[in-house]
Amino acid sequence: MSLWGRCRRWLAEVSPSCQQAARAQSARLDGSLSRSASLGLWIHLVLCRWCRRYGRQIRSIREQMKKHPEKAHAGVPDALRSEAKERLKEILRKPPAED
Amino acid sequence: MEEKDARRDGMRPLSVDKTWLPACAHQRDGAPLAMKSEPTSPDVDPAPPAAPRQGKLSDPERWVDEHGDYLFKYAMTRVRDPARAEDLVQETFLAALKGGKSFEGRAAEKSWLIGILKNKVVDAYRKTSRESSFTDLEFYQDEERDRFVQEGLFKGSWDHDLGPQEWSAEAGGTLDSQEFWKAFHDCSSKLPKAISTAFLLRELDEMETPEICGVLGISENNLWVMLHRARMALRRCLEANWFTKTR
Ligand SMILES: [Zn+2]
Repeated sequence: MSLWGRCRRWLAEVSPSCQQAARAQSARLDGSLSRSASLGLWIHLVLCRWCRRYGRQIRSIREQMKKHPEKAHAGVPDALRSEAKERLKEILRKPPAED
Repeated sequence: MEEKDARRDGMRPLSVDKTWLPACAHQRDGAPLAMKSEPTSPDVDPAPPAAPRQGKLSDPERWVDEHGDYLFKYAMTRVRDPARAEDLVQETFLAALKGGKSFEGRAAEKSWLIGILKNKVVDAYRKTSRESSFTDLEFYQDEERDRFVQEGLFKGSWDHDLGPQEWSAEAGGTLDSQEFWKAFHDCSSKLPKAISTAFLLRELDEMETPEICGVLGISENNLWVMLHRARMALRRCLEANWFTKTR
């Protein structure tokens, strides 16, 4: 076995699986990846283009949401209906009695 | 041979390592984070940044015009249900009225009202959404499992037919297209409610994980798994609904 072959073999042993790496990449987005886990993830990403692609895609989803919050929020009403406002005012004028 | 070795199973069980998880003080049955008073008490005053001053008593009807939309929007991002959000705003105003404080300046008044609303949201979650998230998580666990090889030498590796495909549009920046956002809304509305709420609080409101745990009344483990599953499912759904159509 070539030296590079041995290296790869060793790296594979200390790196997590793709399934674990996917969790780790998510944890990294939430700032909760430990230093030793980061190292394992880094090694895995060097070896695995599938996981590099996965990471790139979940990061780009985040970036899009950050860049265009109004589009990500679209369809969600962000103001009270005017009837609701009137109803609220009515209630505040005559708040229900305490029990 | 080396290729195969690279995918061998028997790696460290990373998922049980607590150091991976976000710090989250709030546990399911413990006291919620950052709550200074009893959550059930309606007239709580969750420590406004400015001390209340004696002035003319605020006009409650003016609250509706000045703060109503903001409070509603705040509640909407957390409960994703217009009727529930309206109820929460109403409860907040009533509690504020009962509290009978007045503030110099709109900013202090607003943060006082938000403080009350925050507690109302926590209460609402404690009452309703405790049980639902667990089955959702189980559902997504199955979904996650499909994507990875389950047996043998390649255990835990992406299944190459089901794993992430290259999004060629990525480089061109066409992610921000009408089609992308349509797929985004279709896909995020398919997520179970608790999971999409956690995800949107994190990504859109950029809330830190301990605070989300507090709002949703869930444990750190649960939140961490929910966020992971949300990203996984959303990515997959976007790939199917948007990328394959624009290819
Ligand atoms: Zn991988």
